[in-house]
Amino acid sequence: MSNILEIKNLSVSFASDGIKERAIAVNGVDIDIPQGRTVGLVGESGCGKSVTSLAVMGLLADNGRVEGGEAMFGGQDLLKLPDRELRRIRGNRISMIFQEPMTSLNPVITAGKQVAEALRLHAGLDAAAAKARTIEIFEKVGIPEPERRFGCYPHQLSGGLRQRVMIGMAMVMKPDLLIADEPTTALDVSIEAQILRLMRDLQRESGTSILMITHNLGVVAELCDEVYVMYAGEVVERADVMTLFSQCAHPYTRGLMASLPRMTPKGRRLYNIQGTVPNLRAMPAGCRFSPRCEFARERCKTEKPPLVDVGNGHLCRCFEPRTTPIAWGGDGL
Amino acid sequence: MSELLRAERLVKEFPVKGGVVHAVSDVSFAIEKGETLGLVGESGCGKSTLGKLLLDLIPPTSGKVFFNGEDLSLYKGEALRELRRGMQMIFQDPYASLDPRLSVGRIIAEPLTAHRIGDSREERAAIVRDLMEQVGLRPEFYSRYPHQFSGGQRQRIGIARALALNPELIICDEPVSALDVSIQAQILNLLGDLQRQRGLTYLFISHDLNVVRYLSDRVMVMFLGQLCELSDTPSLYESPRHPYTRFLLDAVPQPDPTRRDENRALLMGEVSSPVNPPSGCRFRLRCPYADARCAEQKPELTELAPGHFCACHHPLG
Repeated sequence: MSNILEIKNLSVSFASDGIKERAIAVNGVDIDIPQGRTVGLVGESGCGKSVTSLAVMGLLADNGRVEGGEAMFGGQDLLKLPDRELRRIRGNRISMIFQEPMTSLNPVITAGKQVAEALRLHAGLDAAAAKARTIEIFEKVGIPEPERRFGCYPHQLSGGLRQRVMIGMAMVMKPDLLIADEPTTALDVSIEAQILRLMRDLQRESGTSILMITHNLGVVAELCDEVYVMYAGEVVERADVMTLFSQCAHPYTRGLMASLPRMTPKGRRLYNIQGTVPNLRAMPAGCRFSPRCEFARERCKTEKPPLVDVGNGHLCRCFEPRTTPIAWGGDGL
Repeated sequence: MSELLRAERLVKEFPVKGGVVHAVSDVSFAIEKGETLGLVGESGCGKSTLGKLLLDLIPPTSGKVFFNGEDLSLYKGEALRELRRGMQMIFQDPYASLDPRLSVGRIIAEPLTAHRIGDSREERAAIVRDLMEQVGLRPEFYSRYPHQFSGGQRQRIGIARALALNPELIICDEPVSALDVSIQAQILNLLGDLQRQRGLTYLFISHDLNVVRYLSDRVMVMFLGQLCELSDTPSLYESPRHPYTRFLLDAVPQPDPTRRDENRALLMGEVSSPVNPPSGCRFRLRCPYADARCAEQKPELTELAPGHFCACHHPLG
């Protein structure tokens, strides 16, 4: 299977006011997104998962900078493309949806017009046909009263409706790749389930590959084929979704899984990952997770473990990868 | 078990342009001493408003709250404050509820000062240091300010402050929703430990059904201001009787890819607005089982099995 996007050795740094040294937020990240598949990118706040996608799309904040690496998409390195060409790819072959869709919709143009405009440009429809098709698409993505909603401005729509407009837009574009950054985090569960299903429909219809960035392991289990886990700016594990949830090997991933109340009886303590995420400017030598790891040895504190294949493309960055199946229910790792 | 708090036919309505928000409509239930009662529902269902009504932070339009048998509406001023000492609240965003200009020690000491507990500043400081230790904060941090703490630590500050007056009941309004998974586990463990040590009673308000299942002895489900279902936790999760509860449980993405079901029935439509809600059963516009009766007659909360209450004309089997 060929990859639609190959991120290789990506590093990103940020400057802060009054501090000379730049903070490395993403450090040597490799991610492959196969054609037509859904890849999850998970981790907790500050692990670098969103920064990775923003860097690839050329959307880093002013104080951010790509330090190295490449992002190969259709034979071109997105990191080296001039702004104008990157913008064209973003509007056409790569679509993005974010947690707060308000930021990606133009606030002074009605929702319907924004989708219709895309149809005119992409499908060459005239104004009347574009409007009719937009109303069809609104209906398809579950927007009630689509004719009336056509004329609504984004701020007049709920978060769930705005996210539907964004997915409707992606259905028009039939992009090669959809990058979704916490698209359901702000939504109620019944709406979240609908949005996840729409993303799956989009993939079935258009063969779109999806990069799903989320902190929610439930969403990963529901939607993703493959998963990358990030910790402190690095990929610490990669596995297909079944392997990840049955026998993830990295102590951090296992700690995350064990922290989840999953059918855990009341009164039984949940697993605690000790301590907190390290400061970007004071990364531990050796394994970045070692100060919090209950299995850490001397070697882990001084020597950095490489990402190695522990079997069938299951990658893990650990000198002591766990090999037993996960015991759910708070009995430790 | 004995009853700690009882809500009787609580109603809260807010007039808005073009109608009335029916935030809480005729809600009655009781919380037993020492239990955790979970309260779930989607945005706009009235769960946070209900929490505030129970603490008398906002006055009800009608209905009553009894705490330890005392009718809160008969109390005023100092006497009401004294009664309310037994009920405290912790919030989703502890940062918004912590005064950024006060040191952590002063924030936690505030309720002590307000209720004139402790004979001297030194005595209060000692109580505060003890509380900090109980919630897992290092007492050396006494003089630090809220911005110097992480989200999880700030939630611990909020918990310490809620514990200062040694309450019997704590209303937890989405206390872990803003936290990362690993920090969420720490706070849930802390809430469990404190309950065991102090015999606390919790009303735990959350939209996260997995967290509520883990923590609660009983669970109530709200939809648009009304109670749909109230039951012990295993029975609610394993055999929900209200169609809304069923849909809600099915919608939660489970961290288990072997349970992925791409064809399961989804609850369609948008979260309905509590402004001018539908007649009869408020869920009827999104309910596949609704018929004429559901529009005409509001279903009452009925005990379908021992301890399992449901408000539906067509309960699931």
